[in-house]
Amino acid sequence: MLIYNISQLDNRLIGQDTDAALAEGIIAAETADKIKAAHPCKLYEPNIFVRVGLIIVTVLCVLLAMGFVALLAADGVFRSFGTFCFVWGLLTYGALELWMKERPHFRSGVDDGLTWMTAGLIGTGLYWWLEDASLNVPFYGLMALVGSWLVVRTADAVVAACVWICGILFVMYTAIGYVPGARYLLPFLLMGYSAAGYFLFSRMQQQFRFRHYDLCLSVLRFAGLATFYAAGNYYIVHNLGMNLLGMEGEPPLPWLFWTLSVALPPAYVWMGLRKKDRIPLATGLLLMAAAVFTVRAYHAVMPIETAMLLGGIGLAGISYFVHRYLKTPKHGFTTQATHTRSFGAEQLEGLIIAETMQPAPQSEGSFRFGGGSGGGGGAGGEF
Amino acid sequence: MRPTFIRRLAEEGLLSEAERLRLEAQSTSGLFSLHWELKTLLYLGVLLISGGLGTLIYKNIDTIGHQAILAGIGGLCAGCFWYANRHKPPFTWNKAASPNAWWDYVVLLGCLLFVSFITYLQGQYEVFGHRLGSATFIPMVVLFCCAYYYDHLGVLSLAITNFAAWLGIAITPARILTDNAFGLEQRLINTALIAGLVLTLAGIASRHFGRKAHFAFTYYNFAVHIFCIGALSGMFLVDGGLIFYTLALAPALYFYYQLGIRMRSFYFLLVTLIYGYIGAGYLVIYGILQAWDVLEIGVAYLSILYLIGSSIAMARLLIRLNRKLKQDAHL
Repeated sequence: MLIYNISQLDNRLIGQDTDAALAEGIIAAETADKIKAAHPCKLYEPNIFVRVGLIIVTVLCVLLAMGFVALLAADGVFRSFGTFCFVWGLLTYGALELWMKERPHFRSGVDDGLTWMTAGLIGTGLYWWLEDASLNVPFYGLMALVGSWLVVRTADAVVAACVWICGILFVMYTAIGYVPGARYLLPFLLMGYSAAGYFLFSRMQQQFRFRHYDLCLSVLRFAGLATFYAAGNYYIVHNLGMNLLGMEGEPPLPWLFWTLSVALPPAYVWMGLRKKDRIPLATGLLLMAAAVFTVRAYHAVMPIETAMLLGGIGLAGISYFVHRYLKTPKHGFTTQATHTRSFGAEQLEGLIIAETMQPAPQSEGSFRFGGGSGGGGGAGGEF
Repeated sequence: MRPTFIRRLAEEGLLSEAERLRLEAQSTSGLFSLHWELKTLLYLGVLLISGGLGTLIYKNIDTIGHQAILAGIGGLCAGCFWYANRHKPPFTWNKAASPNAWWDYVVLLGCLLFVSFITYLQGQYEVFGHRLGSATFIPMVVLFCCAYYYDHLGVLSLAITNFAAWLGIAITPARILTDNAFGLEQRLINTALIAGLVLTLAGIASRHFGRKAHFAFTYYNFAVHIFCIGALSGMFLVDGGLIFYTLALAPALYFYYQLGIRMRSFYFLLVTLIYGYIGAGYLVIYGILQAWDVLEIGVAYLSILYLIGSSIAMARLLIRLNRKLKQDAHL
């Protein structure tokens, strides 16, 4: 189903795994060379800079061509912008298929750009046709279908994330529109949908036949965990209930949503550590911040600077003690980076440090507190 | 490696029995690395601590008193440098490996605290009076010394940023375009060009004299951006400055292009191409606009055609360059 040559993609994966195995000393250099010779990868897959450059160029070309045609046929475009975009979306998809038939590109920027432009243009066209709010359901449903086809064809992770969001919105608006008592069921409906998605994609990711959709499936698993948390988060349930469903006051079963808001991120981290799975682990760590924000939105437990200080000491402390505990690898965990750490990461780290930790440039004698970009005291002299 | 691939390679006779067994062992029970998670936690922790501490001190300045704070910062700074000196690697003009991630952060913390100390002195007691240049000069010198002494790229980036601050401009990635009043102060544009030039010379000197040659990339990186953005701003904003700044831009682009080829670094080739593209595009559209009386709406058509054509040409140039550097393409 993929637009790419499967055996070439396999050779690419084999090549990557061979490099990793060689870097860790599991196979000899001659073996690696023999494997690479027997499984050459002839796909055109340039580095990230060329890729970004080609994405920009591709998107620019499509937009400029559209602009050119629009200048020539301004009347028609004004009368139906939706049709114009939709037709161009189909043309862009045609261009993608034709291009990929002749050239063995893979994530070169051209296929990325054309895929995203297809999704974007068809989406804009559909949005223009179905602008009426009551037509939310068909819009998100159709977008999910179009996006799914693109994902199946190109295994693009960005489109996969958008498909997931469209799917969530489709379920949400269908429930609001057609299911009685939706206002009480909605969180659980969305949680069930997210959980089902997560387990489905986890199973798929372990199977060999979906090996080329690995990144998509990782993104979708992350999205599933995130939306499961969001659907049960007290702040979101409260606010969406007010804005979307017109419910007032506290949501029903507040204790349930509070428990979910606070207990779910550590549960994710535990799940990630138990199964040695990076996705729940990273998601859990990220969502800890969401849990903190949720609590702070409703209860001022302590002033922000004390919270930051204690939180900072806690995080740094955890990092230090885990590092010491795992000085020699235990239980299958280690603190050593894998071989993929490279020169680029060091340079990037330097730039990030310069950006976030640089004290503000000196201005006319106004006193600024350096050492962090967070809550540094402002000048002004008023207390 | 996936078990199916291991089986396939073994069947094709490409793996020895020992290698096959090792690969299978690794695929079922490799070590799980927590390196980046721990490092992120540490970094966030340090950020939160510094932000929280700053706000806490600011809010309680009356009860704590300036001298106590100064003493605190000074003491902590001294402590950091003492620890750093105890565990530092032996000094060499080549790249010195850092003992561990914590040592890196301690060095960074020490330098930041020192800068805060000087800033506080200046802000509270006006130790340097109105000579703000001196207030930034001393931290800059100290930062450069620390960067070389401890072989720390992060501190070097801070030092270069302080150098630019000393020259009166902000050159970190996000603020380079918003904080600079280029339109109002041609002096700033020329300062940017000078800064870029000095940093380029610093980069050349590092490699030529072999003094921490791996610092050269950082020098060149900051230099190319500040110089090109300054020159482009000069082209766009300074009345009658189009020719002068174009003449300033062109040799710089040529130099960095050659540098990219010599260092086999696609990054510099790309950056030069992008800045060159922007400059050339501006010149062409400016030229087309001069003929507005004759062409009128034709200006729009010509401009769009130029943009389409030039972007395709850029893409082909990028692909050709990439192929030329294919083997060694890295940052």
